[in-house]
Amino acid sequence: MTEIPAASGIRGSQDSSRFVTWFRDYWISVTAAAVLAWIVIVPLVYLIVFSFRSGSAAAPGDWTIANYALVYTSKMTHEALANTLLYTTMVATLSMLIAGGLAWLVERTDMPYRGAAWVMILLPIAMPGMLSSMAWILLLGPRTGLINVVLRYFLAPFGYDGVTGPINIYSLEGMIFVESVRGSTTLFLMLVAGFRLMDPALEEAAAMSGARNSFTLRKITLPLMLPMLLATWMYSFIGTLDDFETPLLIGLPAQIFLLPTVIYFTAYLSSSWGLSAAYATIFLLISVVMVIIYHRVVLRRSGQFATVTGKAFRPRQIELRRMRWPALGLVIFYFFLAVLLPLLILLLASLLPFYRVPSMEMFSDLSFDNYKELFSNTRVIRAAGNSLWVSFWVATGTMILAFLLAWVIVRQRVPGRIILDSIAFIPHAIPAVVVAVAMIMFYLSPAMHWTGLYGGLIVLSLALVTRFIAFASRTSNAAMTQIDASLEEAAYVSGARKVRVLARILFPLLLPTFVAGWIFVAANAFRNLNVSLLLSTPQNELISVTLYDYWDRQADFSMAATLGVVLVVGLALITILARQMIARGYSGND
Amino acid sequence: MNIVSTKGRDGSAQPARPGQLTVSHLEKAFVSRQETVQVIKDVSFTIEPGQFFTLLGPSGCGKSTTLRCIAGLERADRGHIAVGGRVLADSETGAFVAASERDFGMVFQSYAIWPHMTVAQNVAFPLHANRRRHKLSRKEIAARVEEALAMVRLDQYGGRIATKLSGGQQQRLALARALITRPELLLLDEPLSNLDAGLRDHMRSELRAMQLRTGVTTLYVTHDQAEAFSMSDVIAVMDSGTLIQQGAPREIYSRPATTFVATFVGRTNLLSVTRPPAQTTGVVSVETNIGPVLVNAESNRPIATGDSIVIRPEDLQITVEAPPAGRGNVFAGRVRRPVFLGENVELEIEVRGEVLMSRQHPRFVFAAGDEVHVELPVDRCVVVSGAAAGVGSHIHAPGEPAGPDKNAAV
Repeated sequence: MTEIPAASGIRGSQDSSRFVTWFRDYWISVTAAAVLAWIVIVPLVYLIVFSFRSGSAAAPGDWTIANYALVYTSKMTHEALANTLLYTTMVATLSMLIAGGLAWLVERTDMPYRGAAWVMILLPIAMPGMLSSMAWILLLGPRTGLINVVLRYFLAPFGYDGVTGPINIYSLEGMIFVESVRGSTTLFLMLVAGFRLMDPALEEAAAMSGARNSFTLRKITLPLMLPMLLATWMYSFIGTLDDFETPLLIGLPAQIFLLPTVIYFTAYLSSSWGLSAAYATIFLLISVVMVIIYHRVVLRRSGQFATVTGKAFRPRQIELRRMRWPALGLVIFYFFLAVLLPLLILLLASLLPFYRVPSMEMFSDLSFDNYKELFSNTRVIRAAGNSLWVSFWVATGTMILAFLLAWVIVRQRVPGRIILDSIAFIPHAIPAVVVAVAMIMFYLSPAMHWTGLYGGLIVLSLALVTRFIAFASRTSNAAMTQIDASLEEAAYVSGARKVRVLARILFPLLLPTFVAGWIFVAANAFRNLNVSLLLSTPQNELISVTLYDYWDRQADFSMAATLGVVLVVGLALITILARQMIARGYSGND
Repeated sequence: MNIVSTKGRDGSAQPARPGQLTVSHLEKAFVSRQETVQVIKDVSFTIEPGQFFTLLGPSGCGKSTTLRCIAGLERADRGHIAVGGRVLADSETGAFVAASERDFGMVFQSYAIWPHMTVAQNVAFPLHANRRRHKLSRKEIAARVEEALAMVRLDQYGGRIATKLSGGQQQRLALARALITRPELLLLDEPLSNLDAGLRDHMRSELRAMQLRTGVTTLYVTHDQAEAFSMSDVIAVMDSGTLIQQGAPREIYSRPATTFVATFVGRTNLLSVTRPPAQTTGVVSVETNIGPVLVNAESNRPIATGDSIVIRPEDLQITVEAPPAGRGNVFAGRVRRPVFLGENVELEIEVRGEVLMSRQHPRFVFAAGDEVHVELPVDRCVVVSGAAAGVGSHIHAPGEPAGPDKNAAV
């Protein structure tokens, strides 16, 4: 589909300059491209440039390579790199094993209550990472952790007399455990899709060839799944690389630094902006390389095994026989670890006036006072208002931009649309911490400082749009490709101009995708901590920052837990409502 | 619906012969939370050793599920399946032999070629999977693989990754893999439906030639009447989980048992019986919506109101001059729409408000509005149970109508 210059072009060609004509034809494409460049390219370039300068963000100094020299020679860097590598590798592997096991049980066996198991496995999505880290600290903190207290009670007869332990959450193992349990949900969905994509006839053919179950698993199923397992692992690796909340909440108190926390620490706490930019640049490089490998090598290889699927016969189910109920037990245990236990401890903490070593006496102190206090706290209410404002505008802005970009990329024959597509994809590879640092530096710089935007909600929102534009752009492109170009062409032929075609034809057709994407972005913006914490000032505090502040600076675990419970309930309600809205939206469009 | 031709229907009563497949009283329902669908309702048949037996029916009629029950990929709710006296499944005793232990060959609709293996590895897999049963050395396996690949003319491709083969080659590879263990029974689940039309015709004859050469007992499942007619020794027509009629291809085509069979296996004219004949034997006159029609009342079932008379388009005799007096079943009609198709010419002829479909040699030239005489030869008019849906002409089965001359030797 080309842009149609005819309608406007003929009239104006005589008396206006070529630029005006050109702009009239292409202004939508140009505007979308400019906005994208502004939120993605400009801050990143500025970040990279700044990594070669001394001084502070507001007053850059001389050109220097001292930042990189410091980064490469510092022991902290090496430790952080090693920690990051170990952490991401272990989390990716463990969460894939968990997700793979759960997906196999739900998809390919005759485990009872598979419908309920689905819900139990998917529920952790409603649990923000920050909260599950907090919950596990309350459960496994070396001194006051509930599980540790109980374990000490039972181990005392065997000669255990420590006042801390036996388990210490403030360790790399602790971080890996918390993140692996939490990070399995997305992988579960990917693996289930992989299981479903595989033609069941491939396994049936093995059975017909005389192969038993274990032989089929070894020779057919696993080799066929391998590229997909690799892709899933890689995806998880990239996601974990970006993870900020567990390293911040568990790693920082334990003095275990990972790359994101090193950047946060150097930039925010020790104000070494040039150094932080250098760290961020390295981190950026690693992420970009990983994402390129993922897309160029891994995804292509997994596509190579895609097989023609035949009839929609349900895949063969493995009979678990005596293991049916133990298998369900395993799923329930996972649910217990991923959702129930964290939620229960948060609930308990929220009902206590202040958090302390759990004991039987504390049950007499339970009250809803924290909730009363929370809902009358002006700071909380203002932060919640900020969060709602930011989520609404970030989701709206991101989706509109993605919609226009999709139209340019999929439908217009504008030169450079491939570049546009690539730029929209870049944020997928940028760790959130890097986005945040880049935004701070850019809007604090002399060139932008006069705007007074820094510290307000607008910069924060722009950073979040950058964060989510890759996702929104991908889904919008996919949806736009599904719509036949002739629907749009018919409108042009009927005499409609571009803006009208966009508004009256394409937008209504894409509304279900738009709404689904909007809800996804809004929910994620609402619970975002990494971008909002780095960019936060007293003026633009979001609810997630308030939560972290309660936890970290005020060490008020009970209020943090109270706010956390309210957030989880709110997010769960929104998710359920959203699901129904989407379902209705789709059925209305069929 | 009643089963008209039931050759050796209840196999369990007869002494089993090696390679003979008996299926008796098979029943299977799929239960989901919303509903229970009875996919197979009391299906019984026997396949003689070396026979090419086809289950023919529209999609959803239960033919594939029947095949999968025989393969051991589905467990029937009720019924008994045995091959050469070996019981594979019996709902009464609870006996059930797993698919991997049945030692059958099977070709899937999607071919199910393993994409992570070479062509040779695909073919060798069944021999590796149960080496204990086949007791073959690596050398013997290699020889067998070569032989099997040569049989399907893929011996040049042994080292190639299997997915790099074309559709037709993948199809032949799947066949080689299914036959390499020299199974008692070969199961084919719509194997040609993913091929394009030209290749499909070619593979049809190739498949049949291969079956005749190896002599393997074959169960073939298809919805395509041309495939069924051109390859089968016996066709069993299924609809809604029930086996309706079983017989040689020619018999199915020219002596259909019900309107469903008549319309499913080719284009046909259906005339509704409005009043049953006075006599029950010999040539009788039946009142229809175009008037009295003479038919042979040979069926062991009395003709009743609501039955239909089937006559194939190529059996109608069209003449401009009136045929000599005394010939029965001659009606005056008017050509409504002649359609020249090259191989033949199709005419829609209006007879007393009904439209009859006729297929004639292309040398006949007719124009719309021509007055003609239509003769329905008495021995070509077959009475079937079941009413004609709607009016006169029924053009149900799409695709190439297979004339009786195309039948394979029985």
